[in-house]
Amino acid sequence: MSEREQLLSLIQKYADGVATADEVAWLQSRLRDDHGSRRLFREYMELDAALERAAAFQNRAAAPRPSVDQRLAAPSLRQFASLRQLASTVVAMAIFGLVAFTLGWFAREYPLGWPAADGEGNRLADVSAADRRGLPHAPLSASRDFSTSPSAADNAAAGTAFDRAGSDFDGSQAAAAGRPVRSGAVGGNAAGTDAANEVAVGSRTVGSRTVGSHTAGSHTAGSHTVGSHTAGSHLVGGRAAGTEGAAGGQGTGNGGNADKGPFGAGNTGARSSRSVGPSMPSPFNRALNAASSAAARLTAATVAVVTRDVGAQWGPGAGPADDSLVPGTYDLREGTVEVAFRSGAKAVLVGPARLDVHDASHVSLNTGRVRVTVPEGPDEGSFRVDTPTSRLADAGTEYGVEVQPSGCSLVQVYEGELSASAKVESRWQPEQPIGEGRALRFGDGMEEVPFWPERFVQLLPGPEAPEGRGSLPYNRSRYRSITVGAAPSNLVIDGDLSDWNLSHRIRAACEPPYSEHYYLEGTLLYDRDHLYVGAHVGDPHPLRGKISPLEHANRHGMGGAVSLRISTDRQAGWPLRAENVVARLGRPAGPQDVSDKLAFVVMWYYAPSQLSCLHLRYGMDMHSLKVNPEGYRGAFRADANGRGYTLEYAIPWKLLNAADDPPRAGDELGFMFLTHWSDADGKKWQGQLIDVTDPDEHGFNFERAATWGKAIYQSPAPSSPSQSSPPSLPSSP
Amino acid sequence: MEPGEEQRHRRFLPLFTAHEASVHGFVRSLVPQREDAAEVMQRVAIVLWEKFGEFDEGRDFRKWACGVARFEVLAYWRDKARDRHVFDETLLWTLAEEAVEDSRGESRRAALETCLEKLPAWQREVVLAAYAPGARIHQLAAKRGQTPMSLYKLLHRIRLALLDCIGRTLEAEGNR
Repeated sequence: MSEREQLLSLIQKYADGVATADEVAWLQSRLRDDHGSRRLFREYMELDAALERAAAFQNRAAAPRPSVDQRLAAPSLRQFASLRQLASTVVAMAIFGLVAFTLGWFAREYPLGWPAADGEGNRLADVSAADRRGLPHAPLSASRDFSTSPSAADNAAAGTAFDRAGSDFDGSQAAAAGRPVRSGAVGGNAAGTDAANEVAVGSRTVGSRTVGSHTAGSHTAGSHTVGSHTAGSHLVGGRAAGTEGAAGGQGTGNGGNADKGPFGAGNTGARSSRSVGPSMPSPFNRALNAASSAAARLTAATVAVVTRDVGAQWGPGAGPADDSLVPGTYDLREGTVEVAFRSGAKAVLVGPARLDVHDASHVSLNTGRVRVTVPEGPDEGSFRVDTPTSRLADAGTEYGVEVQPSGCSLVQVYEGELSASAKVESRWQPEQPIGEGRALRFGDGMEEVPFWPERFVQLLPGPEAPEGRGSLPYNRSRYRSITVGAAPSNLVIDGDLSDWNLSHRIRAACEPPYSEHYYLEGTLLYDRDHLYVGAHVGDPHPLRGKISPLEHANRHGMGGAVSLRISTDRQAGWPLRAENVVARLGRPAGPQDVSDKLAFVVMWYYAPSQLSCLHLRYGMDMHSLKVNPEGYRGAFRADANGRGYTLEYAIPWKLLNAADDPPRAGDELGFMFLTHWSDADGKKWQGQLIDVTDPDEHGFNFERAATWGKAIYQSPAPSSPSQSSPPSLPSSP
Repeated sequence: MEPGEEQRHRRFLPLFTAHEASVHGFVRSLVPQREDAAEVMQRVAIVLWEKFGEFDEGRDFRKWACGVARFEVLAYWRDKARDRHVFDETLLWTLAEEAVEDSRGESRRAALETCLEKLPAWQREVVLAAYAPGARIHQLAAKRGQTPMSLYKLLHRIRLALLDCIGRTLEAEGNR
């Protein structure tokens, strides 16, 4: 062996941490004496660091390829993110408004964690395919063990989530939701009303502008006798889209969506069990109880009202006055509005669009896109949409129409059946039925085109998009706790929750315009040995995840995932005081900070291998990564309509380091749900939702466990625990 | 956050991002354990941000950052002083001085990209698997049906090949 080889072999042992003390001493003497040896040593060690970074960020197939420096540097954003958060958090306690801006800016400029990296092809994952073939059902840990201490980047980026970073910047929403407004919140927003308890009050104060509150008097429209209507939801500066229905979701008109209950409802609020169903009556038919409101602004001529408004800009003189639509021409230059017609139909209009409103059940779309939902029922009539090349009439249908610049119309039917007439050589043809799952282009005549589920869906804009929220959650936390019921003994982990008791299910949805397609319905059950997680997730791109369990731990949720932060530490109780290195501000870690009984759990689907994956890390330092460990069971199942999925997991308490002392009835322990969505390819993180939080605590969920909400463990039901009458879970509310 | 603070932040982040790989390489060359190096880096990031006000923006950020990082490394070494597996402080300072003055790290990292591509696919896969976060040599070795020691040796050979390749690449560039 040459001298150089000898030296290199010593350096290798040193770099790999396997050198003996003698070898280190020997290496030291060599390095002390010789400049050339030191240079070789330096280059070797630097290569070691560079390889580490390359392996952690191994999307090498990306095109156009960034330089290696850019790619190698990218994790730094995640790593550094915690500092920004630290700085922001500290100030957040004093200046909410400014912080909202700052965080928004940070999130846009420097998304962290999962959002930071973009997912491209990954060789390692390909390599591992051979391994997986040999292990059809085996967890991947059989072929590979990931347990080790995390890198600093892991640590800092672990959360990937501003827990409720966005949730404080609009004090009025907190107020309207019955949550306390902290003093010093955004000026002019201290709308002290506890609107959650008021029926049919949709007004919200945003900044100094009051919006909302439309109460209609009685109207007669054709054969429909309707009452007044309350429209709750309104634009809040485009990005901070409003939580409509601050006026107590179930009681008021919100376009038939069930995702706007009052904050704090659920397990700690007035309603212990929330009914979430598709059977919301139409706004007009529902708002009779508000008929006495003196705030009535709608006139008899009003045929529809704007029930949501996200960044809408109307052409001069071509917008609704007071959100009330009378027959006429409307020119939506940009943004999105949801319009509830007196006939019961609901239309989501995406600008730029021109719409002629003829009456409460007939419109013409001249340009733009609209999604129409027409409820089915004895009181509901048909709703008609004309385009230059088609006439569409329906009842009990949901469909989308786009009038393309070419003048062609594209129609896609999601539910029910549509009657459509095409124009051939300027003559209208007899109506034909178009069934669910079909898409047609109407030009001169009509032709079948591929059905594309997300065609009319308002997709999350992604972390870089200026109109998006970056890494901030798209929802506003509504739950402080979740009740964990006793599991029946016969639970089958198959992605079908029909054998679950879903009475403690929580439902959290992203805010408009994303609320219909991005939501989480989560339930927890438990027994002596397991925690059971059941979740139905609204997702326009369900189960497309391409993030291999072999990829870097920070990427595991990027292809779409449901994650938990969970404590099994009864001694620590609630609220938790554990913090990560950044939140500790230089204080040394205490036992609570690195407790094995705090777990970060990521459940995701790896489509190429059809694997139901599980990622576990522990403590606020996120140590001891485990990927697909022995003992858990998981299953995913896509919704029949392609707009969501259900996951079902049984996670042994042992994996949460609580085998000896699992949670028992009466325990109240830290818990939080996080949901992550991806793009159509299942590679690029697009946005997230976080719920079950303590909204009174500041900071990020991965920095301060005090921000976690609470799981309340129930005693086992006395008899036939599950089969009594589980509420049906709508596949697409 | 105060407006001035935010301004400072806007200037800091791009600099930090651009040079973080460099600083990591620097720290790693002075810290024997990968995990420890990551921890030191975490602290370095915090200190850099705190001290950014002292940074004269006409200067070389990398050098300044390495200078700051050196003290963090030193603190780490002092913690480990009883451990016979570390170098003495004099050598540490020498290594650090030389590393700060070495401005070729960027080019070496750029060359590494090309060189990784040139590796036979199976070698590239092995090396990236071994360096993947959380990977363990003995597990990977078992999976490959070899002993940890032989895997270390394989990795060593791959690293040497990469070092050679990087050297040749830079030489070729220098001659151009």
